[in-house]
Amino acid sequence: MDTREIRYRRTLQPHPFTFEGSGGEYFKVWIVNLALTLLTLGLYAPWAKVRRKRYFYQNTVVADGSFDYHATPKRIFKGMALATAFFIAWSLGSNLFPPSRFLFLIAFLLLIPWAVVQSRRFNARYSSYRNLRFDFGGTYRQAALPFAGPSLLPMLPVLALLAVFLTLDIDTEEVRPMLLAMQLQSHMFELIGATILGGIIAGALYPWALFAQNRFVAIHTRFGTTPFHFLAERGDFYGLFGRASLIPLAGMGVVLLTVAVLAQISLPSEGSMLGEIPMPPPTPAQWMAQIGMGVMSVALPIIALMLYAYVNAALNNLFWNHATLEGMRFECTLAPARLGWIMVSNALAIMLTLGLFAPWAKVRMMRYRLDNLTLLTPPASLDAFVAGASRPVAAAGEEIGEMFDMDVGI
Amino acid sequence: MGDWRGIYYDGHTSQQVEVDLAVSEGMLVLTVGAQPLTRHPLEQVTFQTPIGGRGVWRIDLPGGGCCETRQPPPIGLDHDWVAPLERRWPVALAALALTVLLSWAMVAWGIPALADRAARLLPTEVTQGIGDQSLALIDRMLPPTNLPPSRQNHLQQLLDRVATTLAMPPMRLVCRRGGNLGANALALPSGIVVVTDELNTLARSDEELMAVLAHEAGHVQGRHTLRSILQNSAAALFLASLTGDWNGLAALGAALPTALFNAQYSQQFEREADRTSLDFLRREQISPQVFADILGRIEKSGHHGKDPAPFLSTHPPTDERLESFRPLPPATPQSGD
Repeated sequence: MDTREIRYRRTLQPHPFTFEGSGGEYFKVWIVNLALTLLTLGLYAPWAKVRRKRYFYQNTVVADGSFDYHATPKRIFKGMALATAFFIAWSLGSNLFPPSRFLFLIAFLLLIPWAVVQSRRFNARYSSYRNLRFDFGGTYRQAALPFAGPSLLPMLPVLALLAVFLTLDIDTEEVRPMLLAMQLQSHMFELIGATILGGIIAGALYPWALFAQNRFVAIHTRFGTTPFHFLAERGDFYGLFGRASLIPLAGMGVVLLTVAVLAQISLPSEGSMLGEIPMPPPTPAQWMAQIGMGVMSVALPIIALMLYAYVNAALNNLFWNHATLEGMRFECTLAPARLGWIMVSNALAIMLTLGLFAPWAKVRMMRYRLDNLTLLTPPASLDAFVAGASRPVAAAGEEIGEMFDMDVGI
Repeated sequence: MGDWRGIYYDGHTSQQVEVDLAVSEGMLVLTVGAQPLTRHPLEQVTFQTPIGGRGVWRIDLPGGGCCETRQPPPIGLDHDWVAPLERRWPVALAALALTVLLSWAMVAWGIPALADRAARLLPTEVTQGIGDQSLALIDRMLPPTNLPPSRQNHLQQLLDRVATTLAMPPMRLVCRRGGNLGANALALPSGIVVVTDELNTLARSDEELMAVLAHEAGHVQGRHTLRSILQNSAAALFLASLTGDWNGLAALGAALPTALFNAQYSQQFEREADRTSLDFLRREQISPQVFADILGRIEKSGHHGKDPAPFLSTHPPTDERLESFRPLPPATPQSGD
């Protein structure tokens, strides 16, 4: 952020976002709608979904106005039906005819950009603030590279290698799987090389892809007729992941130090008994390896979680702090440690309560996220937005995206 | 004016207008200060009850305008029949009990019944297709048999006898070395039974072999492979519909129940196949003890590694299975040896 932008932000008036819902209240909404869905053998599911979403929209308040969600259950019903059909086709197909898994994977990757565009459009057009609808104007063509690229491109080296192997035994129809397996065994080095190359491509592309995805979502979203803009640059995302990579590096450092210290102070001088068999005392190297394994098994999940929480918080902050709407700005101040704690404690509580805590968990997360989001406006500017034309949109992309947990939300 | 206040939006701009609301002579009247703003007949106005009950009431006006207010409308103007249910704790607790009950019924009874129906509807080509796939997989995993052709023929004759006794169409027997599987037999949905050399060595009599073959025939007869694929898919779909709006780490919590369902379904199929075997032995007037004997020996010959917890295992506990094969009076002492 340059100094001009910082100075400009100081002139703006802050309006904090607040979440007015409560866990107990949402639990009642959730469980009543779940029971109705089960009672009607799933037919009520679209109505349940609309009510759950509306609860969160209506309780999100900023500058004396709340949001609302207007999707009609009928539309969602069609989308859910299509998503269910797709799920059944995928589930049966990949079980009955395993080779079709590969086809489904490709279809799936090509489907992601479509689902993103459709889902964004659906959610935008049926969301409102101050009785003005949002809209989303991005297209499949614009979404294809940012959303399918990071999954497809890193696979290319391995795919190319497999294609070469397959063409080598093209005339031996019967034993092709056997031959392919043998080829793979004798070309282990090439395969590992291709995989590593794919990994490097993925690592190098990922920050760029996230930049492109975030920018795509921001600049094609409109409030009324007014588009959002995105001030972040590619370098901001590479910087973010550069800082994020320090977490595993520092984590490894701590692990090595811990192992070294533990090995120093605790090397057993006497052998132990494994059942009837006496074991000689371990050599320092063996002991080091044993301690190393123990420490790693504790440290790895912690490091992974810290990385996940950091990236999640930093990406959210980066997005909102660089998204603009006319003269308005946003300020997002999520703290990775707090976010990580909420994620872990929520997941644990959900498991311990067999799922009953889920509504409280959702409200708790929503409240933390909104408590850290502020809208900054020039005086009186919130009144000046103008409505666009309203156009209906199908829910298929939204429902397919939700069913397969595609990352369609930012 | 009255004390029913709200904010009016015309639907064309984001401008907020503070208004007073009132109902008079069947009309909803909005006024700014003392100036009338709009009046609409009540039947053209939609009152939207806030979900959960505490939030903002939204009043949709004809022509795209709307009014947001925190005070509920005077009387009987909202028609949302779910909203009162969502506000009461006793209703929520009843809904919870109902949800648990219905989920249990669905998983324990509904999904297996549906899968059974669906399996009957699917054409035999599908079963054939899965069978071919599995055989190709077995060809890749298990090395060819070392048994002489005469022994293989003998085993085929035993399988033929099982099929005749159980009034089933004939099945094909395929021998393979067991490798990691050890002493084992597998049923492919297309009616092929795979027997490992190790099992052949382990069996002490034709009766024991036939007991195992009848168990596998039970899998074929019950179309268990197809039904388990259908059941597991349906259970996954059902679970996804319950936990659909969980995300991130919480979604991991949904993986355990899936494994649990799959294991329980698999155990049911094993019990069903055991019953087929028992049925065969009864018809042939062979003591059920032979199945208990070979099962016990297979168990002992198997890997001595850690078994998964009983509720996650694909097979019911062997003790429990042996129990049903003991001739009731009196229990024979050598069982399980």
